[in-house]
Amino acid sequence: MIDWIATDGLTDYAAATAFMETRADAIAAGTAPETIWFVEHPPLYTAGTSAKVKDLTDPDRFPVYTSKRGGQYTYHGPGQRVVYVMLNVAERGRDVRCFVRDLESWIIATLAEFNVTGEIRNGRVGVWVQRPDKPRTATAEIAEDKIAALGIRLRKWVSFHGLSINVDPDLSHFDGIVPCGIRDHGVTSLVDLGLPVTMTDLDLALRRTFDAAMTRRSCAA
Amino acid sequence: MLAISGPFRTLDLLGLFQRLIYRTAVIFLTCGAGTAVSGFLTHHPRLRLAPIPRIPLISRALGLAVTLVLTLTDLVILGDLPDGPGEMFGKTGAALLVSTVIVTLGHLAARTEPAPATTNRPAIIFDRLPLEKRGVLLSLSVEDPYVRNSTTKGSAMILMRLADAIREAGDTPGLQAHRSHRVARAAVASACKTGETAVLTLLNGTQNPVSRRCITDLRTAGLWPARPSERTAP
Repeated sequence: MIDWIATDGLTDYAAATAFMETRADAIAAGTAPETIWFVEHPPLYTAGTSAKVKDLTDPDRFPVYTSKRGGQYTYHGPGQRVVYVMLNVAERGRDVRCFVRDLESWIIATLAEFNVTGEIRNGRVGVWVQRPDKPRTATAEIAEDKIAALGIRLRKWVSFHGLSINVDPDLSHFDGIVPCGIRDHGVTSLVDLGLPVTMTDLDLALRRTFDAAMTRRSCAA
Repeated sequence: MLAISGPFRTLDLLGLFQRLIYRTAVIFLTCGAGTAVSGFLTHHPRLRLAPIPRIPLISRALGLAVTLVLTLTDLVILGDLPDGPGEMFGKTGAALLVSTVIVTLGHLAARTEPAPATTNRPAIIFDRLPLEKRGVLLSLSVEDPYVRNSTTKGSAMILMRLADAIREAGDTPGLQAHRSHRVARAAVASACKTGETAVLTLLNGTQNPVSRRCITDLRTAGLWPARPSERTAP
């Protein structure tokens, strides 16, 4: 049984991290159920364990938090749904790569609820959408923008941190960092794609698609 | 043969069937003890020794282990203990001599074994990289649960294990610098150690940490400065 929590308003990042770590420990100890937590943060940047200082191009713009999750710099802010995923990976196959693929599938299935085709790209973490309406890239390929980010950490085989999906954030806020260290591609949101989706719509879609995406017990390499 | 001929008083003490069991037990137990001891001393990561200290060390350990096994086997099956220190020393000396010969011959045989035929395995990991990042492979680094593949054309994160990434790198000559980092031999620009921190700087400017246990291999490969005592005069 999963405890689904949705917090209204803007949640302080440090408080959210403290809650996650406490809850992850409790899940590992068997004293709390698995938890999925929907939040929104005030504008901030987080630096994952692989973040490079040069990728923080505007360090004075928003608070910068050092995070224990994997990955590089990420922006969180109003209009972006952050989904903290505190699940027992040991009971879900004990395969962290399979678990990440499941999370990617969950995001893609959720976007599909709004007729958005999210795709995984080798070499680029996150979920991407093609932008045929934008100029082609220098290599004459269709432009692609990132719509969802992913970054987890495990403690005693319980995951925390999770994913974020851009519903309607101020996309200019991403200009202060090189998101995930990727310079050659842009960032988009559901509203930027022309879809009048609300946070509530997204939350319902996430809950609808969760079971099919996350209850698999095996995955191909 | 030994079961039939019955040397070392076994002809007097045991019947033919018992001698067969005794000899079989001796063979299996001494071989098992020898394999375990030499395997441990050869492959233990903290005992990476050059041949000169390794051969006598393994020989002695092997000889003592075999002596112990033989003594225990004699005690259990024959109810027989060595008659005083003289016999014990003789038995130990014989075991040490035989184990030294076996270990030395094994080492020489391994040196003269032909190198396995190269299969020229392709670096299929490039199939996973975006086209614009497919340059010369510089390094593979774990950023759990991903592996960062750095090439001369940039870097890309792939959701895979480091062991799989190394396998898919094919015949690209490389060395493990750390349990989470593998570097291509041709990619190392410099090596330095500051205090307890050892790093390899690659041609693209990235720095990869070096663990203490990997320094020996890097030094052997010529990618890490030799100890002052190993440097030859110009």
